[in-house]
Amino acid sequence: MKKNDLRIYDHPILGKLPEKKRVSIYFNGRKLIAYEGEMIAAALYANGIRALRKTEKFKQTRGIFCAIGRCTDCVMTVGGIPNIRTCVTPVRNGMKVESQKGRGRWKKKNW
Amino acid sequence: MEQIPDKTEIIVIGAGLMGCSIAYQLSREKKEVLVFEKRNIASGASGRNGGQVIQLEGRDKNPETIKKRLEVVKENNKILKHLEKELNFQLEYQRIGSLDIALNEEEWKDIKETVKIQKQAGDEEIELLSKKEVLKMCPTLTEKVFGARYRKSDGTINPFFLTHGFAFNAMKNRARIFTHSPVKRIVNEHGMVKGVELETGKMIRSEVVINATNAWSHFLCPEIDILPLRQVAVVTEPVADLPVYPMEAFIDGDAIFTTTQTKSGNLVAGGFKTQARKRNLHYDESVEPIEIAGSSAIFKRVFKGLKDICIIRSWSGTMAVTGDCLACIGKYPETENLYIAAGFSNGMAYGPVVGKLIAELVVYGKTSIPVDIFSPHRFYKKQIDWPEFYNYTVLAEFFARV
Repeated sequence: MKKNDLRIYDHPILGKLPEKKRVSIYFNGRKLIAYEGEMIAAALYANGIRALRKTEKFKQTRGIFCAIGRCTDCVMTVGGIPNIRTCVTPVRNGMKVESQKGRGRWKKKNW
Repeated sequence: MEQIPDKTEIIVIGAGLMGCSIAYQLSREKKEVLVFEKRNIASGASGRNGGQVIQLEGRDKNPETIKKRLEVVKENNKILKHLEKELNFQLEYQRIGSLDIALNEEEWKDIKETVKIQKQAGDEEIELLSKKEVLKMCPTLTEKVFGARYRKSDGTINPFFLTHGFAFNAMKNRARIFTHSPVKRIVNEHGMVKGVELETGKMIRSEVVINATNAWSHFLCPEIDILPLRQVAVVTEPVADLPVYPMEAFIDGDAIFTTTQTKSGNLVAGGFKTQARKRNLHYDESVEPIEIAGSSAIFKRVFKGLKDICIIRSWSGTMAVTGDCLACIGKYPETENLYIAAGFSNGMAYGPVVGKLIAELVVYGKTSIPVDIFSPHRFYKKQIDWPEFYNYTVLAEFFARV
């Protein structure tokens, strides 16, 4: 168990967290460990990252709010595509996740 | 609520873009103007469009009409250039040009021919773009594109701001706009217009009446057959700045119009496949789920790079079509002092100039540029054999046949 890992490995009611395959994702270039089947936002939270994006007008930080894909407060740029709701998007090995400023920016190769 | 007076100099029916533009121009001439509107300002097609300023739209191949339309377009451009300053109103006007893209060989031939004719007729700014040039300009487009026509003085504008800008300035010049006051009929005696009667039964006398109700105009002026046509549009979530242009394109016979982003980043796309329906059902402004699904499918096909964008809202609105796809602007035949400005299928591009032309017609009796191609005489008391069930595709076939 790493220092910043906030996952509950031993839950008093739900029991032990089952073993899952480890994958690595990159948050703003930083390599993080995630587990297969986890949502991006959950993996980031477990690694202690709470500020996911900055608002367009007042540049305020935003993190998870609804966690069910409705509020769009957790949108980030994933693989060069902005506005991805990270709380409902599962992680993939080698995924590049970047925090988004305002409406974000498109990577040209995606067109 | 403000008291409606019993008489006035000029009555404008309809507070859409045309009505407000006309009211603004007339109020500048120190005329006493009342505007009556069934719903609210910009409730009809004026508030239900993409805000594209595509002038000289369609693929007009008649050099005579092109020449005359070009004069109107040039005047419109002149007004638009300084309109923000003149109205002291932020209009979000962007002059970025417009595209007419070809998605198959046949279309490409058609566009090449149209551009050739329009260039010869005197349109200096029209350009032909090859596939490479189009994709360089607009890399989000599908690679199936063959080429495009480009007009650089076109662009986008915020339709609400434009309409309200005119309305606000008209009211500043003491014109009065009565919303939620439907007009029942235009009263005329012995070929002279006397005023209008409201739905409430109230009669208002006036010297001049102007019918600017576009798709609803034949309820008041049944002698001119103007057809309502319902169109559906969708709005996407706000996205980062994209190289997208207002454009026309045909896909399987359906027209699609997209505009650039609004200032807040939303993309507006419209003009998708709808079911053919009867005339009176074209006033329906609700959207069916299947239309949204169809719209997003077409959206995905035209823009290969934008498949990840979510659609958040949709609407439908009613525009108007005339027998030759050109608007009806001018004096109403056989009735003195009645004017009509209706039949617009692309009104956003012509709002400013039409207001000016009608005002000139009312005040001076003639316009500064010839508008005979828009004359209402063309359709006066002429029955047009419209198809019973129609949508855009059916009408396109209908016009190709005529």
